[in-house]
Amino acid sequence: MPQNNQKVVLFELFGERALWQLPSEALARWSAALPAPSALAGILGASLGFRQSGRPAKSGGWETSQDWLSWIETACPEVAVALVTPVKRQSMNTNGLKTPAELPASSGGTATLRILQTFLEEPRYKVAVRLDKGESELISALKNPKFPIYLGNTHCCGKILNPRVVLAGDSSAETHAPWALWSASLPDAEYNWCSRMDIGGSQRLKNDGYIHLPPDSTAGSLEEKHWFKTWAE
Amino acid sequence: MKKQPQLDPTKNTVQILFAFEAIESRPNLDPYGAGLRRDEDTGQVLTSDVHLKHHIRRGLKPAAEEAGMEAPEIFYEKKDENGVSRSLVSRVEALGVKSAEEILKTCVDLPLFGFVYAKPSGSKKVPGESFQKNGACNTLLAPRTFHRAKVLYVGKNNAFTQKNEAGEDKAASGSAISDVLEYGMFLTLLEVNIPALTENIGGHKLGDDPEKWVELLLSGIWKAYSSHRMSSNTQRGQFASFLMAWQPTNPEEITPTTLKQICYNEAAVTNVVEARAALKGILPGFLQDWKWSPETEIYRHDPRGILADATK
Repeated sequence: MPQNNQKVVLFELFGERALWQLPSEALARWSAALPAPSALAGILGASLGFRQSGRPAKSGGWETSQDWLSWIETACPEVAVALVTPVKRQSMNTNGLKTPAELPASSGGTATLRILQTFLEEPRYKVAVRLDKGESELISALKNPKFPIYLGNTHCCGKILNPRVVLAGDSSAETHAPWALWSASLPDAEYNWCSRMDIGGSQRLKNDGYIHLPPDSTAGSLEEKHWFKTWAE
Repeated sequence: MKKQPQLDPTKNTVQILFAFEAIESRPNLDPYGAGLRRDEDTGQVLTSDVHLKHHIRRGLKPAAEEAGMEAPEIFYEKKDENGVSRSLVSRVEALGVKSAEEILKTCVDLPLFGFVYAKPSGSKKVPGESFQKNGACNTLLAPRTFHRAKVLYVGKNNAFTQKNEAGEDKAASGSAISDVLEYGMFLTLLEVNIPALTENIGGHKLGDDPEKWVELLLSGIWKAYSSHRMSSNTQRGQFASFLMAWQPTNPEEITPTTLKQICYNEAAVTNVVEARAALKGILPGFLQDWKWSPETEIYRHDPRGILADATK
């Protein structure tokens, strides 16, 4: 049952474009419509100023901030997210990897790998966060984020807007768009295209799960079923 | 009026509005179609943020020299001093660094725009560990004309025929059509994150004063579109118009109006007189939405008075 008297941190997330990567997409870069739990956790971590070393992790990928992981363990944040603007996509062809001298002469010597990136155009999200402790610290950080906010990719800069504390049953926690649902495994095939909205590198899949909007979703208030945990190693 | 930027230590971001004009030119092109990048909804012409940063990198070099750095290095330079294309290995070798992190502390473009150093496999000539660092400067709004633009089509005919696959002269010389932007005033909004910048410039050869680096960036942007422009096909005919920076108070109260949302669409703008007139109706509201005010402004370079005129 929803606990309507529970305090919730609520904010909007906006960017000129977003590129939430799908694990099934390598270079084509078709954006999912919703961020993964880990992406939302990263946005909270960037706001709070957890620093990343920039060095590779032994398990692959890049080293994760230990301070950030400790914060997740302590604060136990859960999130809910709704895309409140229509899904609109924008394609942009870009020049990607260049491999001038490493290639043998027989291959032409110089090659440029072109990438078609399909962004979300001007998406706006409503994001809710509930946590065990550190609420006021989080609100301060969201008002003046320490590090840049990215919507899935470093060239998709985002803005956090209007962070505030409300009660879970408050009318401002309602949206005209449905709140997303989370599931650990791939949802049923009858779900609409949004069921593909699983995010993160493949190694994160087992932790991230799948964010989706069932076809019969309706707009409304934030309920217990809409909350999901953020990713942690 | 041009001021040296003085940062407010309580604020984490600097926002930079940069305007440049493109006259009878082809700024950035779609690498598949080789045509202008256009927004079909609004008739605006746009460029990628990568294209903008590529320009700015060229301006950063003379800006760093002015700031007192001897022989500044730009990491993402496509060619060496002899005009030969560089590989990652030869680029890193030329820097003479011992670690991947040292690349960040040597080149002037990386603390601002970031990089991913994926060690080339099999090479022992370069630092052996991978490294990545996010840039401190990104585009909140990538460059696009603030107005509907007029695109012209120019036919080109070859003087002579070419050979066909059999090695015979073709019956007729070839022809092609390319699109050209008649006129466009582009706006772009960049954001510099000061904590990220401070972290990235720690121990850098150019020093670790964020104010100096913000000044370097502003100077580099201007130089890239004025004194240090390039004549390549996609970069010619583009000129700096004005540049302004401010540190918004209460950034969470910003109304993030986009350049698509404010597009001037009454008529296609085809020259600077029309652009200046249209800008008057658009810029004051746009700046207000992004929390600019005279009190938050830290830098302005507006030699032709375009900005002053639009915000009068």
